[in-house]
Amino acid sequence: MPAKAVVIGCAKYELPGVTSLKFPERDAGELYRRLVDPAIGGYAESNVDLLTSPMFGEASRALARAFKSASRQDSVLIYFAGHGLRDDEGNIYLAVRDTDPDLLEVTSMASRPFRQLIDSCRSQQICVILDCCFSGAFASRTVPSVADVTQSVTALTGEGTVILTATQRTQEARERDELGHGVFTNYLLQGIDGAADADGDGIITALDLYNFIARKMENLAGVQRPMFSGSLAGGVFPLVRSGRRRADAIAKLRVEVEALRRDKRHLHAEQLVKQFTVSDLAEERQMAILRDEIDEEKRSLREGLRRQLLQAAERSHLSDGTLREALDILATNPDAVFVTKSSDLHHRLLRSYLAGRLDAVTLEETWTPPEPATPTGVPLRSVTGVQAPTVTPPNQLLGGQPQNLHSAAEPGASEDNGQLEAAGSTPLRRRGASTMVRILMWSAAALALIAGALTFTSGPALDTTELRLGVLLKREWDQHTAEGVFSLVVQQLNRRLQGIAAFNSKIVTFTNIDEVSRALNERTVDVVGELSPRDIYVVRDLAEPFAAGLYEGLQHYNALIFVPAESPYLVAEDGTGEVKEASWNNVLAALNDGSGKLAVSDESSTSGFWFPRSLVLEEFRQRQWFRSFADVTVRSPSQELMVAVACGKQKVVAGVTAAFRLPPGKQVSCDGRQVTLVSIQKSEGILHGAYAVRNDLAEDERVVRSLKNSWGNAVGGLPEPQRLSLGLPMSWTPVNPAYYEPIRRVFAAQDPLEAKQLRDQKVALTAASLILIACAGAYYFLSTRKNSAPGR
Amino acid sequence: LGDYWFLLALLSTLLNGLRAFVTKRAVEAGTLPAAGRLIPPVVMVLLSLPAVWLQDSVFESRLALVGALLQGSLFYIAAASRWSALNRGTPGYVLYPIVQSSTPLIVILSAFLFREWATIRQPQVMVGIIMATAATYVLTDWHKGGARFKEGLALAALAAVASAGATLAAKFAFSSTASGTVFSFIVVSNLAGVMVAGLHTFATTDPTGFGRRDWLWGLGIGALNFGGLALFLQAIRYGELSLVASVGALSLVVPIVLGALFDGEHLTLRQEATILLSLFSLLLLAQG
Repeated sequence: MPAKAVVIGCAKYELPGVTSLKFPERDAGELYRRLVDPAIGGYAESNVDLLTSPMFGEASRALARAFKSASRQDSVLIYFAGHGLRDDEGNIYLAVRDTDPDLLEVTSMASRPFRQLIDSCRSQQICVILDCCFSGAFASRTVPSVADVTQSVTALTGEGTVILTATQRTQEARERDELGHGVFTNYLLQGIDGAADADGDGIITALDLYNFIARKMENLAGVQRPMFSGSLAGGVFPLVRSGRRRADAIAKLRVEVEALRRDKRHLHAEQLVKQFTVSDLAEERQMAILRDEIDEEKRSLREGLRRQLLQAAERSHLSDGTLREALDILATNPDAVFVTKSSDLHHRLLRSYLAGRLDAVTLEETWTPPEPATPTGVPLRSVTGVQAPTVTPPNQLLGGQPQNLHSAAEPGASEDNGQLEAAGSTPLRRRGASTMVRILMWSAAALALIAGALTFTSGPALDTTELRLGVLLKREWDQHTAEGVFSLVVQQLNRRLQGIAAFNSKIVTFTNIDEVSRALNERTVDVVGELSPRDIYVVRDLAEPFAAGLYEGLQHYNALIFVPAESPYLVAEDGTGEVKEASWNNVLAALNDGSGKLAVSDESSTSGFWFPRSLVLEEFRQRQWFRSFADVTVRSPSQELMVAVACGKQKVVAGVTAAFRLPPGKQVSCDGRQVTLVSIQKSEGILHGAYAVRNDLAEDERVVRSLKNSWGNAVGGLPEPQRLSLGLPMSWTPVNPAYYEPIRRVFAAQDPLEAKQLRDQKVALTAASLILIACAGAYYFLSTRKNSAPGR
Repeated sequence: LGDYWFLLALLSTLLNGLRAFVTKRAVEAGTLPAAGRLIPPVVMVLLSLPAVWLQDSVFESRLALVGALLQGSLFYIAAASRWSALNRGTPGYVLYPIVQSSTPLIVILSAFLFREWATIRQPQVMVGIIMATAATYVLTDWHKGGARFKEGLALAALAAVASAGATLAAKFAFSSTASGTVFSFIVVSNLAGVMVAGLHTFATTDPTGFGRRDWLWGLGIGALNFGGLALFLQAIRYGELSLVASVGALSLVVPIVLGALFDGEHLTLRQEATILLSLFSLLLLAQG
């Protein structure tokens, strides 16, 4: 920016009535020297007119030339040291060598034409420094005093007209021999030499000079008090530089900015650069480069922050409102800083991000300027609406009350979920309403919980004839099927029972089998809905073992009894069709003592099972039921009556013989495990008959394999299943218990082939896991290295 | 365990909620997203592998194996869909209600696929399910609309369907196998998860390396996830899926309560209402 200056020092006066002075020429010379010094003023010598004791015409022409030739981008500095004279009206005149006190209007530089020159000048930066008597009058007649303009200053513009005078309007300016200068100019020169650069930025403005001079001349305040007039904005445009300090200031700025950028505190860095006052184009270019670099990093950080916010919302239940709010700000505000109107939870989330990646800096629109201060002794920046570069720690800004920086334009935001209550900004009326809602809500909750507790303790209201069958049976069964042996079956049963309970409230409780029989026979239980006759049988069959205490003393058992709907064991002997206790006892007798009373023909029991046979068989396969065959009691008085009882300790031991063809009255005992093998299919006295009749399980390869492996050698080989006929007449002979030893061994031990398969599966699963994890880790490691490789 | 399905479901819900709370803390501590997404499934696999070797069976049927693969894949597809929808600027108040519709979807499908209609039709159970679903919706911030309402709808729907599909697959797979195979299930499920999550992570974020702190957080999150999933699988094995899923949907309440208890966070009216609805629904669902 070109700078023009006119420096006038008038010590010699030719006409009587105006005494000569000692130091104005020296003052002007010293100032001139500093202005043209490249390290200080940087003024081109051709642009500075130094006039020592000039004639009026010479001075007037120099002033006019400077003002009229200045462009909008130029700055103009006028310095005058000499006599200041007043007329009767108090107007000031700057006296020069040929000034005639009686003809001041035409032989001196009057304030009025001087102001006209200023007004007509296109320059936006004009500074007038007057070291003469009554010079304050010049300022007061030219531009408003500082007190009038302070309040109107809103921004740092660095433009305007400022006038720095040595005295108030009625005071005389002095010069002292011991100083070798005028008092005012003496301090002016000291200030330009660097003493006025209070903030150390290497730039000295008119206000810097005024602050310094005023402080130095405080002891002369009653005699000579300098004065500053003009806009504060004008007062901060650079006047001169302090050469060495300037270089230091730029270096310091760079260090601070770099440190802030390393800490990801780009908003502060940007603010520092913005506040830094440039003094020439070179510095402006340096600042522009810095700003560009910061902008680029800000964009990158903002995108990263946006991703992290989304991830926080995804992974930690960051509320929709907070997420949306933060994203909105990121999208719309280039200086986005996060908003803390939300609850403490969200507040802390945001703070965690901000602390690590961006500073929490208040936005300018919410920043409250401090009280304007008098120019003296107060850092000027605080008056001009620019924050001092002091960084406010994020935790100070965010640790207290959340600051509502964003919600001003979003009135709806305050109504969402009471979050503003956390910020202490909720109107009292709304706070009261929320409290009422809360009280009502929690009161209702308490009542409901009490009611619920009472419901639990009293149980559902049931008809006196309705007993809780389902609950009892379900509990019994669930308790004793912890190994999940019959899980599918039990689940189906439970569902059915729950269905009964849900829709018909026809829940019956059996404590013993007599109650079951009585309930069914006497019709005290209204069997409706989904409760079919088969359900009744199932219920009876399930209830009976527990009610009869058949399994007391056994550590573990599972039982499943399938009774066909038309099972002859359950048909009343009197032919009435009603199920009676006696008929159930028939079943028990047939099961337990094999008395032979159950003369059952195959033709008499042809109905199907309540549970699909395929389901049962699939279940058997899944559970590997044959593994512990030795611990199984098989009771099968009929091919249609399938009973499986498993006894054991820790492990499920379950077995089943389904649809064994059993000639009536034949039984075989198997000692050793408190179990009794009631009967088993045999053919010609050898065990391959068992294989033959179990054609429905023959498709189970494991069974076949086990039988072949164990029995095949013992009995001379098994025929192929297809060759066996289910309908062949069989002669029944007692089975030698020794035949069962191979079976016991087979099912007690794990099938080697199966064990190998299991081991292979485990190895495969482990290997796949480790390989995949290793691949993922390697890929990740490579990606990390690639991303962290240094750039050129 | 049949009688304890509710207890299992409740414990699973609490663990999942605790995991969400710990995850939030991890985010606050600056844990890398990639670490949070990748380490927990790896931890779950590593925790389950030794247990697999102690079991008598790995997978008793192909159905269980396929179910586990499906569960893991669909679970992370659901998560990735949610993430992508958010990344495309879909507002949360559009996304989450759709995603949360997975719970009623599971209930409806369970009624047909697992014949749970008899259970669901019980008045107290039905009210409990409705309240549990409502609790998740109450927490959603509905008050503001936006111009990007339609964006991401397909992704949100995909997330809901995938989430429901993951749960149904788990039920299909795990209810037909021995309870000890839960560890095999978790391994396979999370292997699928590692693949999907890993690919997604590498595609969407810039790996910057894991630190020891990331590993510690990931270990904790993975352990909690492991417990939550194991209990959830046992719960759906012995209980009705519709009920267990409804209880599980309430896990989002847990971090709210924990935040209020341990972080001194202010409970909003909406959050308090959600907590109450959750309590009511748990009370009713327990009777199922």
